[in-house]
Amino acid sequence: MRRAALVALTLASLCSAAHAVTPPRVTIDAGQRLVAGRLAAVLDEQAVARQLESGLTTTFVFRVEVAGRLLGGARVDVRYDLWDEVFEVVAVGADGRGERMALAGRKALETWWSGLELVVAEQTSPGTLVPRELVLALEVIPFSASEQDDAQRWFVRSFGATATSDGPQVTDPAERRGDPLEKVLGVLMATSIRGSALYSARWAVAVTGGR
Amino acid sequence: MGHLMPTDPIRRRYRIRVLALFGFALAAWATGAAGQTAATLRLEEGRFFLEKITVEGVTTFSSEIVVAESLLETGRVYSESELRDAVHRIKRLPLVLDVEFSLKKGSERDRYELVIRVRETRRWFWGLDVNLAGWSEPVSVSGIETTSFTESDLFLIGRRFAAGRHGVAYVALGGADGTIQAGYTHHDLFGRGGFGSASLAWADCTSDDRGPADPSDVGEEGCQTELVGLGLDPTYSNWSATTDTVRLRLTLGYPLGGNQSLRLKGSYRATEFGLRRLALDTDPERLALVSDRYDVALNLSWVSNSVDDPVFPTKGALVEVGLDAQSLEANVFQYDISGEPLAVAAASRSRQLAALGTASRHWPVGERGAFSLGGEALIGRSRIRDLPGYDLEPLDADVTVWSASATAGYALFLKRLHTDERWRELRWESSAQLFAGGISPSLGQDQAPGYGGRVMTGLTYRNTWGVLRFTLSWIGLEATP
Repeated sequence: MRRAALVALTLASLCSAAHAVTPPRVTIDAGQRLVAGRLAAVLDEQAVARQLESGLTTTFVFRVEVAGRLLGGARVDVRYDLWDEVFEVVAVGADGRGERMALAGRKALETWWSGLELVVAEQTSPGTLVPRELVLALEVIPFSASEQDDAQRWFVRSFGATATSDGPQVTDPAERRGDPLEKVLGVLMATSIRGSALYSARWAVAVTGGR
Repeated sequence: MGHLMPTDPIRRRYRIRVLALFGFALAAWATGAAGQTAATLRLEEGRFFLEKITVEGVTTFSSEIVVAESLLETGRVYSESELRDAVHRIKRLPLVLDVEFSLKKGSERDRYELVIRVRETRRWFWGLDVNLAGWSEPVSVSGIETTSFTESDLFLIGRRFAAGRHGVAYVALGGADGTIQAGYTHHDLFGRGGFGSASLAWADCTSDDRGPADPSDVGEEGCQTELVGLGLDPTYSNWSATTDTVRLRLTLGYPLGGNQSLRLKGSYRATEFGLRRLALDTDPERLALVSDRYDVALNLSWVSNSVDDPVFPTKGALVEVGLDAQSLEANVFQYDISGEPLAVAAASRSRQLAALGTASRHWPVGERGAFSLGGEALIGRSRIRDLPGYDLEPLDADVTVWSASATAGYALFLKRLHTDERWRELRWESSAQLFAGGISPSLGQDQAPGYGGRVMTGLTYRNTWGVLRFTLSWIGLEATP
């Protein structure tokens, strides 16, 4: 009996460890884009699961880094509609394309999540070197993503202030798209500021395919 | 052509790649991405009709305090942003460590019950604040010696008590205000989510048995040592108490909607005997014995507060703008170290009325960090009567007083454990501050520093019992040329 319990415990530990360390997969598709898949089972994390069932928005923010440099990212917003009993989901990749759907229940959400393929970085030039390894980071943020957007807009506006003879003027970044420094600065700020995460993780991932 | 050239092909390729990083709206318009528009690339903000509000996890005080502080009412529609602000308001209560909101179905479609799940602090609480500071100039902040290295520590232990549906009382030993203190806060004042708070503190600052009125006691450390503003004492002096001192504080807050409120703060302190020391003077002859000292302060401010956490802020902004009135009355007897009187100035009085504004903002940076910017500005008028100056001659003047400071800080969570069983956080915090101040006319008080800076680094630990803070500072002071 004790041996059986020991074997069961060992198997459980091995399964648990394998589950915990299984990293996501990042591949290069035909369009030379980096696509993340086999995403970790973070939906089962206690804090994440509680937030998903709260009826309020949960935001999953993915970032891709190579040698400490931000290369790309993606975002998934999820909110459970208590009355229709569906998860409203919006997934947005680094290519700017979005996918919106309603998933009927937790099981459908888990199935969709496990098969999710997210474009996390675009290769804009055929000659650009493809990284062999990268870091994929995930943060799960409670409440609406508009919270972090507030901070991002304020920060970008702060840096967008231009001194004139009439004193400093604040310009909306959208009105300054011709300023290259402003563009880069704005996006860098937008991708580096985040809310307090319910859950965060980082995986070192080998890039496969496409060579 | 000295600026970046938009036609540079390498820079252009890099910009395009960076701009395509996220599905943020900014990236969408910048890259002209095909497909869905930015407006459809996110979930619309949820809006919820609340028909019931339930509080869970509260055992040591009334749950009605949580509801009152949330400023949420049943029978109204709230957006997720408004619910988020309510989370932050509740989390700023000293009774609360953490808060979670969730929704349940209501009695009919599109009606909801809001469940507020609270993680409380303990009934017993403690705090310890230790600061070691190095100074560019020798200073006197305790005792008669001037030194370039100072150490201060503050310990507090106390207990909270529930007092009715909307009240919380506490008693404590230690702290900045006294040896023993007691206070009471009434929430939902006037039934509109306001609050009123009162505290009374008594401190025994007597440090030996020779009698507090003995002039030779001027070398004793005393307690409640603090630098008095230049508008009340232009000589840049520390004042402390060497006998019993009693302090009464009153605060009233009234919500104006959202994160805005009006706040009235009052403070009265009476001290029988104490000391006054020129903070930057190495000459012990300029120590003074103080008797019958009365400090009164009144502050009326408009406050906008969206900070997520009062101890470990990571996002949000705090803005306070208001009027600040202070007065300091005392008999100041100037002695030398042997007890011989040098000058006597009975019934000195200083009064100051100023406009005061403070602002700070916090941003989460990275997975565990936070960046903060802050500033403070004060300008006002001050009336000083019969207060001994640096040359021991009584000052008798009306002056304009001003001060300003700017602070930038970075903090990094080294440990953050939030489970149902354990709750603890450890944060490394650093900041740099520049400050300046003065009075006009200067009254010849060359000891007052015109400007300076302070850099600080330290660790702060918080758990369900309280907060422990250990900091190292370096403070540089320069007199106005």
